[in-house]
Amino acid sequence: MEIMEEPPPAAGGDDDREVELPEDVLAEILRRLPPRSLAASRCVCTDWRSAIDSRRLLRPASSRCRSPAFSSTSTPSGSRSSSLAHLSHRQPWARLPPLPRTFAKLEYGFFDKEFIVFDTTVSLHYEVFNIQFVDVGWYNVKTMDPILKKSEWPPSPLVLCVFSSATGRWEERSFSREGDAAGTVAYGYPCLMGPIK
Amino acid sequence: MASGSGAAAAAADAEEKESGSRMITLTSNEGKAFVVTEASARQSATIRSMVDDGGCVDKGFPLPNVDSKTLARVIQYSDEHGNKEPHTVDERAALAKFDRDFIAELDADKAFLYDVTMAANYLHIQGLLALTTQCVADTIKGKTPEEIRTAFGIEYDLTAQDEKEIKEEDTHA
Repeated sequence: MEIMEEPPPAAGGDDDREVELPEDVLAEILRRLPPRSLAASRCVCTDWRSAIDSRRLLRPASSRCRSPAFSSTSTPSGSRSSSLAHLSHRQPWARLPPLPRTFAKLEYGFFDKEFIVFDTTVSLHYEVFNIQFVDVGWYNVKTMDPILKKSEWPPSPLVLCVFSSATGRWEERSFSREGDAAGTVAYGYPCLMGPIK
Repeated sequence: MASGSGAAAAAADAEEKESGSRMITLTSNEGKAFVVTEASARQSATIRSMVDDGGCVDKGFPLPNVDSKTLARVIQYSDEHGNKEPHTVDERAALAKFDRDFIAELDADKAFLYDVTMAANYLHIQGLLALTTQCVADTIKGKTPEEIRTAFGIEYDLTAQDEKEIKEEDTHA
């Protein structure tokens, strides 16, 4: 959430008079907002903040952990044994199970990264996407399998390994592309690649 | 047991009360009187309870918190919703269209929108309050805290403690 140090001066015009909404009217307005807007509204001013907090308008779960912080790290490149996800103040870390070996293994010249996806205003659950990238160095492109080099990027369907905190398991999930390919594996930087079948 | 004519008068009175055909005077804070049907006035829970408590229907109701311009607009809403009860699909659609046009007009004049919102709150006109507060809520959606402050002319007054909390939320996000 973006917090400004100083509010810019209000624009001139007929509408810029200060609106002093009584607390009950303000609450009536705020309770019609989706969680994301409520979170922004909590940072507007003390009146709005207390109107939201005193009525617990924002879901207790997400306000208790104060928009839980997420970040993702993975163990050093090459090791796919485990990933850690930084979750929240209450449950700071979760160890993800290893990516099953039956899933697509890394080809030479590829590396992979995990990306965590979440929306705490919707659910405290999260998903981690394992995405493979082509290492686009000159050497790799030069020595890459010519068929692979010319294949479309991203392929459709694109199969990604996805970990869901709801199920606690990795699973393969298929995505179909909308529109044309962005390029080829060799020239479609940043070269997102799905497992090669 | 009441006499025949008394019962008839009572029945007529009850019928009149039922149909809301009595007229009620609402007076704005500028002293301007607006005569409305009881059905229209009953859109306001505040007035409804005063009428039902045997209040001073004949003397009318002074509304010290509502100016003439705002009251006229509130009455426009109450008349539409109070005087007609939509029975058919078409009638309901017409009323929904009235609401849409009504709020679109208010949305173009935010200061007036807030006046009407506060009058709806003061008079406890639930439908009108829902309509106006939803409209205000829609203007908040998708805005950053800063944009909300600008839109509402709100001064930044968060305490150091609030800022610390927000910063903590931010650095972890």
